[in-house]
Amino acid sequence: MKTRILPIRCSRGALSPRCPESTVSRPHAGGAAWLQRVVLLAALALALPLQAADLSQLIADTAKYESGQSVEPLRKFEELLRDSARKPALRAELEAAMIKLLAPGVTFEARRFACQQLAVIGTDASLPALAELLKNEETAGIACLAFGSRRSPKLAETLRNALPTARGRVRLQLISTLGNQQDKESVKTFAEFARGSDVALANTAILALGKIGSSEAHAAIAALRKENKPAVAFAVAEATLRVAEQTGSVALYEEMLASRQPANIRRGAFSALLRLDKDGGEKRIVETLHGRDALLEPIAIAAVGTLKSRGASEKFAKEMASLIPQQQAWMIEALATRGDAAARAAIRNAVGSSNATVRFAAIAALGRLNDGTSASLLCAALTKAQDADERQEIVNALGQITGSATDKAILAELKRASGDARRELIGLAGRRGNRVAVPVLFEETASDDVGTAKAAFQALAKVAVADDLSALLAKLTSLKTDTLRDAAENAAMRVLAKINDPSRRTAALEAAMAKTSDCDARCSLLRLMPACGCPKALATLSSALKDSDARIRETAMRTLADWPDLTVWDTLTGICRQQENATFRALALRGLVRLATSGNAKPDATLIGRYRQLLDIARNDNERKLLLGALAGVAHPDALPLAYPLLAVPGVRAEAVQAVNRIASAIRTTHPEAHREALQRLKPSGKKP
Amino acid sequence: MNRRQFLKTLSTALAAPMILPGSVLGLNGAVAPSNRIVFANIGIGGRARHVMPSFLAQTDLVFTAVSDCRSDRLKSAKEMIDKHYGNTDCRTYPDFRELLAQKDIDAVFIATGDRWHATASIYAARAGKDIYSEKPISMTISEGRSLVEACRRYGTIYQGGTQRRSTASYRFAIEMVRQGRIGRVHTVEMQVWTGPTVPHDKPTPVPAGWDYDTWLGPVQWFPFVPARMAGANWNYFWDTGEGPIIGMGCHYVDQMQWALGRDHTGPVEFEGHCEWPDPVKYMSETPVTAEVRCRYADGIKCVMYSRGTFKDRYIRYIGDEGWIQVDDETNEVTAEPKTILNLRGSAGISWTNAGDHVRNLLDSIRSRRLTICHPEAAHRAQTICQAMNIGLRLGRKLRWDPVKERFDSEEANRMRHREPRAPWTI
Repeated sequence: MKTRILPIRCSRGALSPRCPESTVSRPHAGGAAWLQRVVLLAALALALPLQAADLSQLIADTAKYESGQSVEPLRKFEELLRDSARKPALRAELEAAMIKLLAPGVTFEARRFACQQLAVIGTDASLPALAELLKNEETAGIACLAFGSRRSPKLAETLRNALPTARGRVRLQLISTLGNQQDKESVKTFAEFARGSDVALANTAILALGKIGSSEAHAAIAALRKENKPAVAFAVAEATLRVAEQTGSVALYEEMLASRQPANIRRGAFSALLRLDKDGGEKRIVETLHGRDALLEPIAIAAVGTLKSRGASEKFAKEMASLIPQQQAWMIEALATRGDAAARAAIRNAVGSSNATVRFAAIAALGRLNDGTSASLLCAALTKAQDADERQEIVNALGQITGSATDKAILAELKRASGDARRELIGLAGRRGNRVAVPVLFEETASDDVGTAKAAFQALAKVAVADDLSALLAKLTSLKTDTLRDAAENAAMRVLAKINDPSRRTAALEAAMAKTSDCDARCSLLRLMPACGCPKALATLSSALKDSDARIRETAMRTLADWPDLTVWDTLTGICRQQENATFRALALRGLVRLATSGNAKPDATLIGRYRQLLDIARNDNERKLLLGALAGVAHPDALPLAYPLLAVPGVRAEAVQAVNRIASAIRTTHPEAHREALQRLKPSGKKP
Repeated sequence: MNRRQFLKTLSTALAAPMILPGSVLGLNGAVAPSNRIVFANIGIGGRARHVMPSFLAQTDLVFTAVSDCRSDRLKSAKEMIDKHYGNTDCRTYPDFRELLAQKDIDAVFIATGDRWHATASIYAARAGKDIYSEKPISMTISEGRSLVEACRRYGTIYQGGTQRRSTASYRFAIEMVRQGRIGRVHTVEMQVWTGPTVPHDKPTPVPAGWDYDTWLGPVQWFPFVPARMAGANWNYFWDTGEGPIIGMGCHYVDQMQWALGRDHTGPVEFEGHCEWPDPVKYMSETPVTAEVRCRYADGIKCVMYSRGTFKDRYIRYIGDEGWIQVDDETNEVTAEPKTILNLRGSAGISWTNAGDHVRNLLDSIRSRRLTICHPEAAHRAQTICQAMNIGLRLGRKLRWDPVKERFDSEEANRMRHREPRAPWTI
């Protein structure tokens, strides 16, 4: 194989991790090697035993890898490594292969790949090769990648041996890795580094000492702490905190709590002391609250939540009186975490606070606690709430409290409440879905307050079921004005949807129809017929077209036009053919177009037939334009002949052109002939070719 | 475990922190500067710009500085923030360590690439700053544990960026699970999208204005390859990301953990299979499609699919009396029995608005209480996704001890850690 040395220009480390210039030797593969590769890949694909020559070729292919080339060899190695989990011999071979890939002459990226694999499978066998990489700034980092989290005396020795001659970033890397290795043998060296003038080196060494955690490391850190050098202060603080974690030293944490320490050190130390205190920090919390250390007070209050002593809730509930409102709110959250009887009692008391922050905190806490005993209290608070935000907070809390007792409390309060509070409670009753609310909600539909009545219908939409339908229809048909009609109809619609049997739905509506002669009521019932979805309902609507009352006829027509499925097709086409009422024709045609369009996504012969029928029915250009607009969405070759004749009609030519264009475009790949014909038709002399 | 026992294992109320309306805090009017929390941003790419409005909308915080290793982004970030406040006060720092050294800054919003999240957060904790960090919160299990320890060590308030914990539709679904409305949950099913692939590309010189060394951060050096850096492509290489299983999966796994009350533990078993990118055509490394299953000690199962399109993502809780599902694209909640849906209040804001999540952080910064997505919770969720990927990469079933945080496999345990590049020591 020929070998060429290729100069690769480096620009801020673009092609090489070190500046300025670097060169990489790259073997130039010939034809024989290509054939060997094919053989290797075939062998691997057939899961044949790996031969030495196969592996050699894979190594050779991987050794020259650089970004931009196929990663096949690398992925093959990964596959082999996966397969080698219970095959020690293969595993050893693969490690040997990775070691070979660390050699000089292998590309940087290939060596990097090898180090990544050695991080998972490497043993002490790879250490000599990795030691060589440690000597070079370009490769020291990836060598440490290979060491990973594996621990062995020889591994640590390899790193230590590289340290004396390492400089700059390499030295920092080695110290950092030895620190992660918790190498006790490095303590003396690191303690020396910690006192040097190189600040980055010193800080790295100190942080490593903190991780090592031996008694010698502790002593070194203690000495550094006494020296109190500002340049390494943060590292010494962290290392000290690590010592405190490792030893559980209260004295050390007390030292770190001193006021001269930065805020985050003090917070960390304080939190640790709370955990270490035998009483769970209770005494310390009280002292802090009385001592007014603004930095630590919030942490102290938060810690109340996890105190173990039985009387803690009562004790700290009493402390609330001496706290500012924001702190009281925090204390409420802490008590809510405790959740015991004393805590709940204190929180309930706070619902009546004159301070909004405290009230809100208490309300939210009771909701989170799912405290059923608080339901009446919260309901009463709703009527006293000072603004919409507070009402909403109470409603949210009540919504979180489960149980029928809460439902009853809500209904009881509902009767006492007025205005927005009453409406909120009605809405809440609906959302909670407990049927015990139904009678009350029905009563509320008769409220003189429109908002209240409307809320009641909306709530019934959620909670009423089939058995409530006739009562609901009775309410609907007894409405005197239209202000509530939409809400009532909507409620009835939702309840109808809960009844599985279409004939039962229709029967309910017909029964209601039979009981009323009021025109508005009958119109409402007609509008509900589509919710029945059965032939009888359709027939009722068709009959209503002949009603003596014009409003009934119009309602029936509009409802038929909105019928949800194709069972209405013949009825509507009949109306189009026979009706002289222009409005009815327009409504029927629009309904038909809507139904036809709903089938555009899956066009078939039946759909085409429907469009043909509609075009036959169309009487004027406006109607044809409407149909062409819908036809344009049919991706089917048979739609085109329907549009072609209209190309010759001046009043609709523009729409016909657009329809032909869109249909042709949609079928271009599936029906190229029809597509070509369509385009031909659109040419100025456009006739059938 | 029967249904009654299952419900007992969950706390009866969603441990949601309190979000007080702004009016209660007196925030309808101007907030005195001394009462504002001073924020800075580290990493101002696409995700940061998307979330930033949720921060800027809070009247009791102010952004005063930004940092990015790309000079073009730094300039446009300053312009955006200055425009919001109507001044030119926003400071810029190419090196985020200088930003962290500023004493006036209380907290940072970290929205760098994934490789930086844990390291930057630990540096911020050391500097005494509270933190909102985008997810995924770490690149390895050991890095995540280091992050948890650092936050504990320094009393840091930290919010993981899985903002669906503060999203109404997701919280509703979880509330219904916790109330037992679908019975005992036995399976949680989730879907993320098909993993993108990145065709081969060659190294080039680093573009002007990029501090590539800082961009890499704790990742051991590799050449600058434009296709690896374009858009979010770095997501699909193990050094810098872990594909949709973590990118989106961590959101769903986090929801599952929270719903089941498992924020301090995790599943005990992982197995799965996947389709890898064609190595002849693509240089990307993370799976194209995948199906991964895990199981908790009490038998509850989880299955994550990586398939379909971006729009097809969802999470579904399946119980012995029904199910409830949240579609992420539409924010729609569906359920069986349908009556469950009657209990829902308003639709609430969508997950795309992180306002409530930010609000929760601000409240926690003041109260020093745990955030809704505190470090342990974020780390445990992250661990599940990382365990899934480790299992796929090793091609075998793994058992996990959530107490010791170790696998039953030497190789898998080694993959819990990746040695960071100096000088970025955590």
